[in-house]
Parts: sequence; C-alpha cells; structure tokens
Amino acid sequence: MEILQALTKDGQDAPYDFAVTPTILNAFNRYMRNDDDESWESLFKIINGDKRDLPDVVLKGIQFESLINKMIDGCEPEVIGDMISYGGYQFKPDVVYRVHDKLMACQTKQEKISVVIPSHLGFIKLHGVLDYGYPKMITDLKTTEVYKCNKYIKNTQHQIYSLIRKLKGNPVDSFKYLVTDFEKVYQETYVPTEKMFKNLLFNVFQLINFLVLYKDYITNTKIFGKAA
Amino acid sequence: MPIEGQSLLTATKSDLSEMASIIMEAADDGVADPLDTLIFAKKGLYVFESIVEGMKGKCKLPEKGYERHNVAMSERATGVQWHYDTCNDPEWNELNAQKISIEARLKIREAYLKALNGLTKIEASVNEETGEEIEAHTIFPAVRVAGESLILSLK
Repeated sequence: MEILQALTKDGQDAPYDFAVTPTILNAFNRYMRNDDDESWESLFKIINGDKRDLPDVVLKGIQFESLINKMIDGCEPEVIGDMISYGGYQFKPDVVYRVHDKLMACQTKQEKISVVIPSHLGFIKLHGVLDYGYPKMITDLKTTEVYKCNKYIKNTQHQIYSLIRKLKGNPVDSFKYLVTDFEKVYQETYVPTEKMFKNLLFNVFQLINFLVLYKDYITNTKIFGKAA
Repeated sequence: MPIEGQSLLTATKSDLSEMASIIMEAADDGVADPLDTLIFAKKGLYVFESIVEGMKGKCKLPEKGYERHNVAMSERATGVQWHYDTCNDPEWNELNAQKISIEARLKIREAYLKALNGLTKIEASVNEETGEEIEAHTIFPAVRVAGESLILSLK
C-alpha cells in the first residue's frame, strides 16, 4: 500500500503538515463515539495540550510506573509492613513484582518515536512515547481504577506505535497492554495487521479533516507543521 | 472454572477479567495452543449463550436495584423503535424522502467509483442543474479494506 511508505528512514526531522499522537486520536474517537468521558471542551483541552487536574488514581498510576522504571534500573523498593511505599502511595508487592518481572527484559524505556508519512492531505507526523520496547514487541503499562476485558481494544496506541516501528524497519509481532488495577494484573495482546494499519490511516484522515475544520479553536502550535 | 477459590457463580467482574487474561496470556506467551484456546472459548460461548437465551422470561427480580453474587440486576425495555411515518408531518416526510433519494444516488455513485481502475482524470465541466463550474480534478480509486476471520462451526 503506497501510503504506508515512510517519507524518511527515521522521520525525525522531516517537515510535516499535521502532527498526530495516540492521545489526540483517542480523544477524537471518544468524542465521535459520543463517549460520556469526552466533551467538546475536554477534546480541545487535549488537542491544545492544556493542563488538566489529574484524578488521584492517575497520580497513583504515574508513581507506580515511576517505581517500576526505578526497579528496572536496579533500585530496590522500600517495603513498609506488607506494602511497598513509593511517591506517597502504597502498592501490593505481588502486583509490583509481577509487573516488574514482565518488563525487566525491555530494551528501551519511554522512547520517543515518530515517523512522517505522505498522504493526499499532506505530510502526517505520527509520534508519541513508547513505554517499553523489545526486539519484536512493545508493551504499554496501564493503570486503571476498574478493569474489564478488552478495555484497550479501541485504543490507538497499539495501532500507531506498531505502524511507526514497521515504517522504521523494526516491525513488531505484537503489542501488549500490561494492566493493573493495583489489585490484580491483566494483559491484552494485539497483533498488527495490514487491515489495522489501513483503518488507522482512515481514522487519522478523519481527525485531520476535523482539525482543519476547527483550526480556529486550536492554539497548540505543534499540531500544524510547516512542511516544505 | 474455579480461580483462587472463587466459583463462576460468585466471582466478581475483576475475577472474571483476570481469568480471561490468564487464559489469553498462556496463548500469547506460547504456553497454550492459540487454536485450542479459541475452540475452548467458542464452545464455552455456545454453552453460556444457549443458557442465557433459555433463561429469558424465567427470572423474576424480587425488587428494584436487586443484587446477588456481585451482579446488579434491573429490568428495562429493549429493542425500542419509534415510527415517524405515521405522524403526518410534512417536514419529516420531505426529509425522509431526501434521505432515501440521497442513499440511492450514493449507491449509484459508489458503484461507479468502485469500478474505476487507477487514477481517473475528470475534465472541467458545468453542473447542468446548478450552473456551478466544476474544476478539472483527479478521482482516486476507492480503497477496499477487508479482514480475515476464522469461522468455527461446532459439530
């Protein structure tokens, strides 16, 4: 499929017309699905990168991921009583160690990746931060208050990051969401396919048409690039 | 299937999610055969869907907001449909007629676009109905996206 060819080998410094991240595409999709969690205002807050008040469960998740990263780097966690204490939060040791054991062999952590692809709408930069990279797999660590099966099936992270890795000549066989509600650990694994990539691109085109239509509402200068 | 001392009857949604996750994890990590896992799930689906269908109309709730075994239960109308063609509303009738007409025109246009092979150059022209000038342009072929699914038929 011609539109899947990367403009440059690494895509880092290539000029682009539009920049898309999984966060923005996920918010756009939630809004289009009439998801209760996403209003017109909240969508544009995300597009514009406005600071939002984070709920405690999100702050706890940030500390959890920070703890796991430190453990991967070789730090021992501080155990107080029956719990691991970190960043002002308490975590169950069995949950922490189970997640750590799954991620300890990763080759990259929080790696910024991007690629620019040509399309009939212009040059589109897909970019974001890949949580944990392996030679043939990507893992994204998720924390949530409530988990249900296939929670992340509509998330675009597995689509976008798998496509970027493919276009950069480093394709993956699978993308794994490693999920914890701080009580249990779950995983969802997705296998990238050509159909998934095609649907992703149509989804991105939809988003770009929306961004162009409501350009006047967008203050984030990183969304629209200056392609040569 | 018991999991950590829980039975299916009393398990929470979180227990069930963990159960599904553990089974899929085994297939993803190469411990279990993915095809066997799918067959196992397909058979389970057949059994449980048959039971759910067979229980329709047989269960009565003792009260509103009833809960049992970590399941909240309520009654509500399903499959609600509204028919507006009985309203004798000229505006709705006209909009509906436009919708039917547009759907028919879309079908014809999509059949034309589907039959195109490669790029098609369209010369500048004038819309005979509106007088609007249409610039010369190129039509791109429609993109076909199809997936592959495994079809399992129980015997």
